[in-house]
Amino acid sequence: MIEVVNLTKSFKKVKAVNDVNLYIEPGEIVGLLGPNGAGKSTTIAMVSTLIQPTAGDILLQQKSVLQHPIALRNVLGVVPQDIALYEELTAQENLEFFGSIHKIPKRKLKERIETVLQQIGLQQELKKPVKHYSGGMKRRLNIGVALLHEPQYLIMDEPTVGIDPQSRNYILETVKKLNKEANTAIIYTSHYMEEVEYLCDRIYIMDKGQIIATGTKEEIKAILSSEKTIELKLEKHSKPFVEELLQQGVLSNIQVKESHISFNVAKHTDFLPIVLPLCETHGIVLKSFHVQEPTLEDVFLHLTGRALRN
Amino acid sequence: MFLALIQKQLKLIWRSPQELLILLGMPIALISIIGFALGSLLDGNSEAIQIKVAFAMHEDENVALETFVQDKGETFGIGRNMLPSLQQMLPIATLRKEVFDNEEMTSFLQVTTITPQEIAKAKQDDVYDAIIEVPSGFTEQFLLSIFEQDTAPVLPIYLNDDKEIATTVVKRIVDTYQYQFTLMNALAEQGMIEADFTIPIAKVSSSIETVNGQQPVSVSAYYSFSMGVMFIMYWVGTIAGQAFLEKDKHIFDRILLANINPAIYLVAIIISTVFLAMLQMLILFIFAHLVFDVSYGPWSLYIVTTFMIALVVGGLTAVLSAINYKFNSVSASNLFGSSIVAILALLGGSFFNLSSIMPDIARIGYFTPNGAALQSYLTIQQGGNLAQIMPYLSTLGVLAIMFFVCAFLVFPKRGGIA
Ligand SMILES: Nc1ncnc2c1ncn2[C@@H]1O[C@H](COP(=O)(O)OP(=O)(O)OP(=O)(O)O)[C@@H](O)[C@H]1O
Ligand SMILES: [Mg+2]
Repeated sequence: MIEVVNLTKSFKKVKAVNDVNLYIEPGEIVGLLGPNGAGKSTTIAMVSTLIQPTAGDILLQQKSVLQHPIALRNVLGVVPQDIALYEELTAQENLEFFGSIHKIPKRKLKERIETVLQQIGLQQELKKPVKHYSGGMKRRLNIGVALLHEPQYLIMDEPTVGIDPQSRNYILETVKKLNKEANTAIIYTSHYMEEVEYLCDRIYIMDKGQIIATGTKEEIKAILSSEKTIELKLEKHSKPFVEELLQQGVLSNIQVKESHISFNVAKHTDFLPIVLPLCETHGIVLKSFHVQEPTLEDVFLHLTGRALRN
Repeated sequence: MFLALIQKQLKLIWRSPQELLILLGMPIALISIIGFALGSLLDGNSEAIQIKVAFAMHEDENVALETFVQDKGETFGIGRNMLPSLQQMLPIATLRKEVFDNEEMTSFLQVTTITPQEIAKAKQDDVYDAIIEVPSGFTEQFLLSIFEQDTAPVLPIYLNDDKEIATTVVKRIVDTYQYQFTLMNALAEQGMIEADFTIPIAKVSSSIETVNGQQPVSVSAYYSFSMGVMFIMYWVGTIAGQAFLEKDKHIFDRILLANINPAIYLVAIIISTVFLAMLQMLILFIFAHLVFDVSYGPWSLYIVTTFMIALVVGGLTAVLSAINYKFNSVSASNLFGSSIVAILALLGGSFFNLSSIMPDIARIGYFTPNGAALQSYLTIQQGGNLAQIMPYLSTLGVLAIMFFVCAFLVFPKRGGIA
């Protein structure tokens, strides 16, 4: 098990990571969800022993790795947010190079490369320089390189950024398969809640350097389970109507987009007796309404008052 | 694992055509341009170089001829009526007519006649590129060599070896002159030129020595070495730039995560650079030999010098890589490649020899890596031995050690974003 205890990282001006606690057990997939600049990559860099924390500790089987990172590095694979590959070298050469620096013996390395290529579904154009690859192929190879030394734990930093939906699905399937077949534990970082929701057993939601929510997706959604989201469609926009709606006090998170209005109310509140009289007073026709179950997006909105992505 | 790091570096260089062009194509092109330009200089096509020659005569050729005819005319059956013909074939007259007064030659050759008393001072003054001295008895010896088949007289030429290019040109001119002179005599012997009577074969041999008694270095050799030691410095910017790219793209993180000590990474940079730099010099030397006939004496001395300059280049590359990593920017190594190399090349004498213009600055140049290496190569070319190049090798050794220490002190021990 890898544990992160009260981890903090301050740069000159910003506190990029602020008192973060998290853990990952063998074989599970954990999501780290947060908007741009939340501190995900900084957290990951510390967990991978690449930068020293300002405060806090990282433990592998209860032993601190800050002074002796080797034990952790041996069982850890890291997929950086950037494409960390030699663009001038071919896929084959990249794999051979990164395999060799992991001191994998030649014959073993040949086998490993075959296996990895199968795992990431990259079996053609191995003799082409990486710079001629598509974005999706580069992303896949970026993952493959981290798998060569058969890590027990894999940290992936936004592995689907900037690629087409097809490649993205392929990568999500690869992650799932990797976890199922090789029993690799995975920390999956993203700002796409669908990805995290689809893949992860447990989720950490991060914002402004802090973990603001944690648990299984059911547990996290339960934060909002006392509430439901109501969407109204009006005939036309009306400012006095919205203002009076706000004064009711039982609503939260009101969002107005012209004639669309959405808000949260406590689960058992009957909202129609509130809304309908208001419509009448202001002479507005309610065209439709819709009651919605919460998503992670709603949880984030609820916790921070901001949308996950803008 | 270590080999993989080096192999990777070689592959990266091999796959970047622009770098190869700068590191191999450019010096070859420059050596060629300079070599051919200076070659055609001898045909009078260039006015780029002004060569100052001092000409001193210990005797007047015509007076010596008259004396000779008066004293020995009877013995050899020469009458006064033959004086005009003989005057025309005197070697100094020919030299003046064919070389000093030749319009093509005068465009870059500036001849000053000095008195024999001024010779010693001229040698010291460093004003002239060459001093040609006509010793007393030269004319008599020449005439004797014709009429008595005596040994040909010697025309001493002093070359100022601080001015390699110019002296080489002078040597070529004298050689050409001597060749023409001999040819003319040979033709006369065959009856192919009209003369009042057939002249027996005569040769004037010019003995060429540099002021320090060393052999001169040919223009092509000089520029092969000076371009070599300049372009070897371009490895620094190239490889340090590539190293920074590895940090920027988080490849270095992967290297650290594979439990490779940053020191090992740095050593791999040094070794690859040393190897590549030596390979580059080898290629340039072979090129200079094949195309310009530059010949090398003791190859072991060349290898030692090349190895030492390559070590310094490796050290500098490590320093610049470390600075790039430390300041998270490639500007340090870019600055090195764009400006510092040029300044070093200027100081080290790669463009032209500074010692005659600014001796103080030239002395600083001996302590630049390229300057020290260039002096070492030139010394070997002039027949120098290990002891004579030792000062330059020591300079290189000290520089290399200094750079290694700096690099390891500055290089960050961790990767990541910080
Ligand atoms: N080396 C650094 N020096 C100063 N500030 C930094 C440094 N690295 C990161 N930061 C700051 O720390 C904060 C967190 O950055 P981080 O890269 O960890 O976010 P992230 O969650 O990975 O964002 P993204 O989704 O954009 O990758 C940001 O405000 C960033 O500007
Ligand atoms: Mg990030």
